Amino acid sequence: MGIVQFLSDLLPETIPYWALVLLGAGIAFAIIIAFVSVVAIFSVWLERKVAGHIQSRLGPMYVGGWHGWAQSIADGIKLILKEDVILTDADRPLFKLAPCIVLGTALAAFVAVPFAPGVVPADINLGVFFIVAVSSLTTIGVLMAGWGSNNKWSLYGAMREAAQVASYEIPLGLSLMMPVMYFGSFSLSQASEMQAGWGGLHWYIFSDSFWIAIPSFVLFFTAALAETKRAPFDLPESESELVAGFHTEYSGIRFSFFFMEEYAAMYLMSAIGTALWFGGWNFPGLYLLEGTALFTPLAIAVFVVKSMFLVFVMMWVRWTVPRIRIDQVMALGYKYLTPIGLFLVLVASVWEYIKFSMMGV
Amino acid sequence: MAFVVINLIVGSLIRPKRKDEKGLEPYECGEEPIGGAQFRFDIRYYTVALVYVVFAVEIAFLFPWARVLKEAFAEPGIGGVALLEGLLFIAILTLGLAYVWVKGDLDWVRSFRDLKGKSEK
Repeated sequence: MGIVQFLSDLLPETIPYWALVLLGAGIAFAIIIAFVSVVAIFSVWLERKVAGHIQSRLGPMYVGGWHGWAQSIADGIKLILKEDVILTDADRPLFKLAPCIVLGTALAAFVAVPFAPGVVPADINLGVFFIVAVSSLTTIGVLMAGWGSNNKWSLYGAMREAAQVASYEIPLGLSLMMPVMYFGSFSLSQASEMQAGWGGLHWYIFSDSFWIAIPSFVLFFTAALAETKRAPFDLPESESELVAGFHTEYSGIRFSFFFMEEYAAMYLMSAIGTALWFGGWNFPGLYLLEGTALFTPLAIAVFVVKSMFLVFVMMWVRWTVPRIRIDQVMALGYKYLTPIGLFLVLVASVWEYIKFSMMGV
Repeated sequence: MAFVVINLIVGSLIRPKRKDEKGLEPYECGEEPIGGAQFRFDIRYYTVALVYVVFAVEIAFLFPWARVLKEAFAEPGIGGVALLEGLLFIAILTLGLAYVWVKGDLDWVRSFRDLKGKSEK
């Protein structure tokens, strides 16, 4: 059930349909923005804590009292208070528009993420396709930022980002094809519903196709790391070579939009991984509560905890693996991941055929 | 978008505005920048973009096939054909990848000596 349906049940029938759609979109986006902001603030703090503990430090400890929980809120306030520098030589419209596009596309992709049964901003039947398409629009914003700031570091970072994200789009698309084939659906919520069996443990990664699911998830996760520009693929903003990459010239609030986009994209990729491979909101024993008021909040909690765990794994990778060179990044994308992805699609389709002709499922 | 705009407005109300000439120059590690940054770029980026466009379109064609595969198996007389067609498509795709690979367009670092050697042949 989408939010528009919910509103039309709630409000009197005299309200026209387009008003319902507009209202629904407004409410959905308000919720998404609030959610993404909280996720980003929490992830920044978590990242610093994880980094600290992996390197035998403590991370933020003072701001707010308990383990520095208010550190990222304080950072956010500081960023709003900072001067907004726009260079004299910069291409002003491009420079100003870039953060809006980057953050806007990252938030727009959240529309198709299913948090619990019925709790999905818009249950589009092309969910997977939509997310892949919209999240790759970020590249355009980054290119605008790099070109618009008229700085050599920024331009290099943006071009690297474009090349890298474009190359890893291919393995990402190929890796998403295996779950699409298995579920026979593009919709993320439908895929999550189909993993509800076995008392809530019939996840794709535990199903009879687990030997396809595991390599395809590894492929997806690697491509997702590159898509979100995370280490070991953080070439676009490698601080030892390119100062800060495409956002070198951004300061204050505009910089924080790029920062938020990074964490939003990380969470988005983890959410796709959770919905397709790790059973979405399904958890052993949760089905017992179905129909009670507790069910939906718990399902949302399960989904968020699962995807936050994947975000944690991304951070873990970042602080464990050293950065690789740009030619290694490109070679990995085209010479290893793409052939592996094509091979997996081939194997998966044959396996589906064998399953169908042997067992009729 | 509204969120971004609201934040920008709030920011513009409370942040300091101090403009000085040096602060508005591009950052190049303290050096005076030489020339603008909007110059022509290395051709290999465009090769990557071209290869990407080709593969992205192919993937866009493969997705619907993956989506309907299970339903196609259930239709009498279509199942095996659907599978074979998909496999043929992947085979052609692999052939294209192999061609680009052999041509050397997937190599990021290409020395000029290699390029010369190729053109002399």
